[in-house]
Amino acid sequence: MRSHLMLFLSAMLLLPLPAGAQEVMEEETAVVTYAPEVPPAITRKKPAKVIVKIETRELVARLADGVEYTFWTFGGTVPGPFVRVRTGDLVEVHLSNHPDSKMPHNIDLHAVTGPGGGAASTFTAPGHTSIFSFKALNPGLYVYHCATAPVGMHVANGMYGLILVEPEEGLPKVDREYYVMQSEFYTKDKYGTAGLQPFDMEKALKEQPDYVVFNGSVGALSGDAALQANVGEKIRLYVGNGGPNLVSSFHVIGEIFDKVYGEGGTAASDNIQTTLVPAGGSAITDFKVDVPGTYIIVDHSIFRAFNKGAVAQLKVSGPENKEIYSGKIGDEVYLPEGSTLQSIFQESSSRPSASSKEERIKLGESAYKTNCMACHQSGGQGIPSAFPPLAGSDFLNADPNRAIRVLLHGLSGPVKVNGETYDSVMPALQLADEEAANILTYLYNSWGNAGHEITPEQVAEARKAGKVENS
Amino acid sequence: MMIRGFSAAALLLLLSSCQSLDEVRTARIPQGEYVPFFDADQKPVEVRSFHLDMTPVTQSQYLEFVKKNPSWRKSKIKRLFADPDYLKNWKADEQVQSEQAPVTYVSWFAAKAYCEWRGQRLPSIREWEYAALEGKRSGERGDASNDNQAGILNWYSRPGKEPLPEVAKGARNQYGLFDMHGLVWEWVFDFNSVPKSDGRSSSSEFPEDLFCAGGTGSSGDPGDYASFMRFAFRSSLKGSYTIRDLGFRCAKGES
Amino acid sequence: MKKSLLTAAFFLLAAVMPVLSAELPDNSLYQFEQEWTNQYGEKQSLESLQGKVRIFAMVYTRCTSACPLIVQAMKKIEQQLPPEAAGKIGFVLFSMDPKRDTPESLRDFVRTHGIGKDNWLLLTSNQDNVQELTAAIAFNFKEAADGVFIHQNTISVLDAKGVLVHQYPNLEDAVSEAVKGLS
Repeated sequence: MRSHLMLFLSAMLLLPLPAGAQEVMEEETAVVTYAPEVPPAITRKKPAKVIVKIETRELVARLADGVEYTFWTFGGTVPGPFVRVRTGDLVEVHLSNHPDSKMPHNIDLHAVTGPGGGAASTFTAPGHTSIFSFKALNPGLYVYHCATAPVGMHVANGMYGLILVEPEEGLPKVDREYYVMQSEFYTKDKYGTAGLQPFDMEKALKEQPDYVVFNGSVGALSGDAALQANVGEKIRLYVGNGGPNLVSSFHVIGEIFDKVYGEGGTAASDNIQTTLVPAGGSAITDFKVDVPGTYIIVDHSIFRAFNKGAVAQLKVSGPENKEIYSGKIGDEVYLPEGSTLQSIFQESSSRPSASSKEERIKLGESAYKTNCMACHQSGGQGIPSAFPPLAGSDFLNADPNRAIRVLLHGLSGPVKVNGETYDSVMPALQLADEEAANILTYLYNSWGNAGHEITPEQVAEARKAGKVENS
Repeated sequence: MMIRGFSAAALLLLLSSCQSLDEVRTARIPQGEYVPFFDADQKPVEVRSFHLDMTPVTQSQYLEFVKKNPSWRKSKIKRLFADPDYLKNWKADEQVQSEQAPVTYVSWFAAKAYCEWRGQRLPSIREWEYAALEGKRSGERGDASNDNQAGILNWYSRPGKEPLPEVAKGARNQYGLFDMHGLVWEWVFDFNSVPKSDGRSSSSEFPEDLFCAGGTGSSGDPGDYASFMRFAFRSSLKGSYTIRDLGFRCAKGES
Repeated sequence: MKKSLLTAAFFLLAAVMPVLSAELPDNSLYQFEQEWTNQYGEKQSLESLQGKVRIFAMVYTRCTSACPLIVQAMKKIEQQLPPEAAGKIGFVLFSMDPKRDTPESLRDFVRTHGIGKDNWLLLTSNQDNVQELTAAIAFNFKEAADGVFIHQNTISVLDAKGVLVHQYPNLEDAVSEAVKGLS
């Protein structure tokens, strides 16, 4: 009898703690998605109890072509899963640390009101699960991240993601929503060096990253993986910045954000070109796409885009709208007032002409630096997913005549170079025959290319053949 | 002749005892001072001389213990002393995964019982940290450019391998110890002396969230990432936890 | 008189112990083979605590700031328990400072803090036992150089068989929730 009483008492003790007298809430498991996908808008009109399950994992994955990195992740991806809840929801977070992890991890959600944002309550050794709950009091787009010491390293290795707390009335309807998160990586060797790259603590302390990327790797949102939309659609980008150090100047080239919910809050500003996204912060950007084409998404702190990987693409399909954007409608020689009445070609004919292959290569090199290097880079390596390589390029070596025509008349539409498809525009360059011949000779005699010499006569001949048609 | 014969026997005896010692080689760690990682006052403390196993305890060594002490078999272990992953990588009660690999998936209770069975004990956190100081002497600040720290960070940040590599394959430190860094994490006697907060404590005397929410205010050296990781790891543990990358070694001598 | 009654109670418990311990769950703290000394100077095993729900905390008697608050919170729990529950629940304070805490200093602590006699046990032991107990309940503490301990303030509850059923890392929560749970 006595022991029965004891058991009864202990059973009472085991009952879950009531979180105060509350109305009965619906319970559901959160639908989470991986970047760039976003879970569907919430249609519920009442708060619910939402269970969010997240697993922390440490794994080796691609950072750039030929470059691997040991990422520490939420959900096995960088950034981690996108969580979507509604204001007033009771969110129960189950954080499981995979048994193969070497590190303890936790989660600090900026959407939490309470000490550590849940960090201390979710501090979890490998092979264990921690649970805590919080009430989503404030609507907004929030970063979450691991906050285990040394925090910088956990973040630098990839532990961040976004949680959206929808306002009760929801957000204005749009046609497409995407999840884009910027962050930077600090590797032992410089950008592009192949192999498994370890974290470089010294560079992290100096805030000098080798990689600045969207969605966890160079080219994660380019080529086949580019974001897609159709002309006339309203697009919403949920933009986060995991840092750990840099503040992003987030910009979509050729678009103006109709609305920006600055820093992920609820107040919107209209007509924004570039919005600042702090490390550990976010922004919601809405815009309508009116004109087809490929829009390049960058961190407009622009060296990060050109040299460190902070480039993504949004491809918009549909009919042209010449009224909004005409495309190129004029192409004329510009004669500044007071200049001699010479055409560019005549002028360039007075430039030094090469008398040997060696001289041609030398002159070609300096012309390359002026005309080509910005895109194709100093070593001819190009920029992944944006500008094809010239170094060891099968496309270049296959057909010198085609190469001349591309240089003179430009090229658009997809081309395959060394197995990768590039779909960007090369502009027509205003070059004299001599100059074009020098550049091409330089190219063919650099970086393991075929070694041809191209003469001005060949250039003149190919010029007549016009633009390379590419389908 | 008699005497010589006798001494030869004595020599033989000595030799054989050397061999048995050889199975569990220990290094003497000389007395000295060092500045503990997260002590607020950052004063040097004294560490008395003690002996420490040269390598983490191997699976074959632990197997001997399990054979002699059946209550520590994976099929017999009580939940109070180890969680269900105890010796998870062993195929059976007396079948190890890799003889010379460190034994892992062992709880603090198991590690303690093993050392006591051998007439030893677990090293204290101070002893372990003192013996593991490498390329960085007491009082020096951690430095990101320190080669050794870079090597340590590199191990800490790489996913673990299965099965684990064998012990004593790497370099020794100045005391002749193998594998203090770069093989497994190791239990220490007072692992739970690391400040920890669950974020709800109202009046704890522990500094809030030192390791969980990333505060670096109370630590002596914010550049010492390797120590941060070790202390954070220890503070995430409970005595019954068993983890793939967590083993131990034993110590002897006054604590 | 009281003392002898208590002693008798312990003997009674000790008599039924072998039967009970056979039923101890795998994760019961009473699986530890540990001997402690109470404030009366009597040795007792951890197992001997079974049979009652135990509300307990780790303290040390030289503690001037946090431990008195812990004791106060436990006293509040005791006061707010309904009368019918009172006799089925015992209160235990384990010393985390066995080097300094003797039965005498435990008795001083009882006097200083006005701790009840009937339902309270104060226990001290050795470093090894303290370390095992705290490792099992995930209680973190550390002796600072000057003999002052840095520690968590945790009140824990064991069921009658020694299984840890609740831990309150926050003293205010401990009072309201433990009373709710035990009433």
